[in-house]
Amino acid sequence: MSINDLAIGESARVVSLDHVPNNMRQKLLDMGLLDGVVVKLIHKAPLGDPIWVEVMDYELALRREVAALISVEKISAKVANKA
Amino acid sequence: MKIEVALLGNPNSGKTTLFNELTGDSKTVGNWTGVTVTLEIGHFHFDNNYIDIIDLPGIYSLFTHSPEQITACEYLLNYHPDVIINVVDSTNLERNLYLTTQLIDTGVPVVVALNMGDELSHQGLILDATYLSKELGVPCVRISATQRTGIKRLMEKVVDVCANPTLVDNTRIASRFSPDLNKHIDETAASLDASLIPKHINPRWLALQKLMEHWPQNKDTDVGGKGDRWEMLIGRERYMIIADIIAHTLKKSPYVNRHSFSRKLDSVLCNKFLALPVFAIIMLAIFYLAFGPVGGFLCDLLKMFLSGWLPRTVDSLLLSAGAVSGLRSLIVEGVIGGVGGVLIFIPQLAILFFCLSILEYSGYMSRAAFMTDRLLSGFGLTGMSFIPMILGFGCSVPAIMSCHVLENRRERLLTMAIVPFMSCGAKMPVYALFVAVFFAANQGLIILGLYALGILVGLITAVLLKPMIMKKERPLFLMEMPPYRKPVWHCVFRTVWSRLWDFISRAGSIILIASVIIWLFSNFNWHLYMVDESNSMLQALGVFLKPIFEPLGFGHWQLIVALLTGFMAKEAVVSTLSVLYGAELLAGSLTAIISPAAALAYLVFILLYTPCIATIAAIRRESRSLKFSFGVIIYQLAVAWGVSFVVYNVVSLFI
Repeated sequence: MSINDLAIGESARVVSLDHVPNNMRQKLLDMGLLDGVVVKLIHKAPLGDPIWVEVMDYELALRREVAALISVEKISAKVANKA
Repeated sequence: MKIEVALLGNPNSGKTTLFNELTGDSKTVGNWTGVTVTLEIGHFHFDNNYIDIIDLPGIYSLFTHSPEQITACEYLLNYHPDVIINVVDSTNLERNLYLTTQLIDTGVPVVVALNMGDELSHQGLILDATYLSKELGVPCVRISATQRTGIKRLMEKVVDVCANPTLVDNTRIASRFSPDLNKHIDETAASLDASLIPKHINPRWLALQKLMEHWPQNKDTDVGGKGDRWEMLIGRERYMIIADIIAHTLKKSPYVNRHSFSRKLDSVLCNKFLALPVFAIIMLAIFYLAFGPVGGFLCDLLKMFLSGWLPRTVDSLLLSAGAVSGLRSLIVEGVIGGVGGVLIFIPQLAILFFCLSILEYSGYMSRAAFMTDRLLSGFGLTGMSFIPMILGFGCSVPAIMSCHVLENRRERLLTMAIVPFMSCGAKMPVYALFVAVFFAANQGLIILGLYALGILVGLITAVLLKPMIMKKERPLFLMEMPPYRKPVWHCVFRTVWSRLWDFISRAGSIILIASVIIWLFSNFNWHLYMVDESNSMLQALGVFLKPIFEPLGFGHWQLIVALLTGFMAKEAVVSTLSVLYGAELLAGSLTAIISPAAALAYLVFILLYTPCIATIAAIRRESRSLKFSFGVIIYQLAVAWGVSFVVYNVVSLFI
């Protein structure tokens, strides 16, 4: 699954960036999106795209087409709070 | 001692505020040779040291996937800064330190400025700067650029580090990488041609760059067949080291919900149903303030002064001093008329710049981009282009100047190329005149159609020019959403003033020259005898250009001359026509010489052709490229001609 499959308020852990094209992977790394990191979906834009997530103590907006490439696994709210 | 300091940090880290705080007004803007991005250079004295400070573009890492990042790398490699000041947002340490650890790798001494120290306690965070300095191996100083605290201590550290380089230990971070990875990095570093590496650069950094970016072919190279990639392996280790350091330096209070205020505000302002209405209301309010009664009243006041009292007084002074009529006309009509005609927009610009910088400083600008991104993504743009485009309906000058919010230079250029197609307020009087004469029954519809046509042509332009301007780069719209912040007034006023001053200084240079040239052309014939407009060089030019406009249905020199004066300001079209035809006879003359189809073609041409000189000056200033500015002029002339031609011929079939 990808970040796009999360409901607002749900958290997930990034599993891999394998589907991300090479030239984009660096940019995601720059923004702190890499495997093991916890992301939480906060808002969606009024037209559904882009989406707004919390990652590494800050907030980031990204388009669904990019979010679709980031594989995640859902985690429970308890685990997310600990992380 | 003379010290060269490079200022580096993430976008939104407060880098520019610190730069302004350090340099005051003593900065020069220079085009760095060989790079596409402009850097600001400031100079100041600190404790008997002469300090040059270079404000590099805000970047998230040193990898070369954007022109901004390439600039930073080229600068570090080819110039020799004595110290890097790395500005860090201390409320967002984890991601900010990603760049910090890379800067430390370069071998140039780093001093970390932990900015926004004043916000830490509000967010229930306690930061141990001493421990952080020890772990990173470089001095870390807590500052607040907006509250102006800690800046003196920061500069003292910079001077200390210059005098005594042993204060910086570049190996602290390196030693925390896993032995396997370090072995590989060292081998790669040893394989580099040492003679090509500048003395101040640590070969380790270049080795890391090489591995991260898969030099030389930029092809994927797996790590020992494990299917993992170097950039993932190195990035992961880097973030792990950072997480470990942060775990010991940053204490979070469990009782304070850090983002609660922003979250509450966003649950209203970015709410699924309210977001767009609220955004529309904010934009309308800004337009109402700037172009409605308030801005209009202030502009009228200034107009009374600049086009009433001032020219009258100067004229009578010149008359009493015995100046010849040519000189009086040059000064009163050419200089005061031309420059004054541009300066009367200052109140409106001031209001716009003020509102915009509040949007920017408060963090709402990012939200606006977030909400509107979807509307523009299909045209190769991102939400960041939306605000300049909207402002273009008021006046292209602040619209072009607001393009600085776009971090990506290519996207900035693309936006600048389409903003002039948004029909600006100055074109309205021309539309009003022609629709009243030719299309009395459907006035509103025709004007609405013109606005829609402008937007359409702008968006088509984006699609057409995208491959040329953006090259292969695709705007990704990975945008940091900062929390809401109270605007800091002295920063807001500084921004407004520097933008206004920019505009005023252009009025005194390029716009002054253009005014005088147009005055010369409209008051002299080719033998340089002073004549009235209908015998002037401008008239001759109008006659000369007639064949070009004949296919568009309006090959009359008066109409063409009006287009030429419209180059100064679009309102000038109406006044020129009134002068040439006589104000009372204008309506009758127009219906006598051109058909409604030609009138429509004329309006379309007005909508699309070359923007006014003030806009071109703004494009030149923001793009810093003469080639690009001329390209925009030529492209828009061509588009205006082509679309008018189609409109004239198609409409002629029906009416």
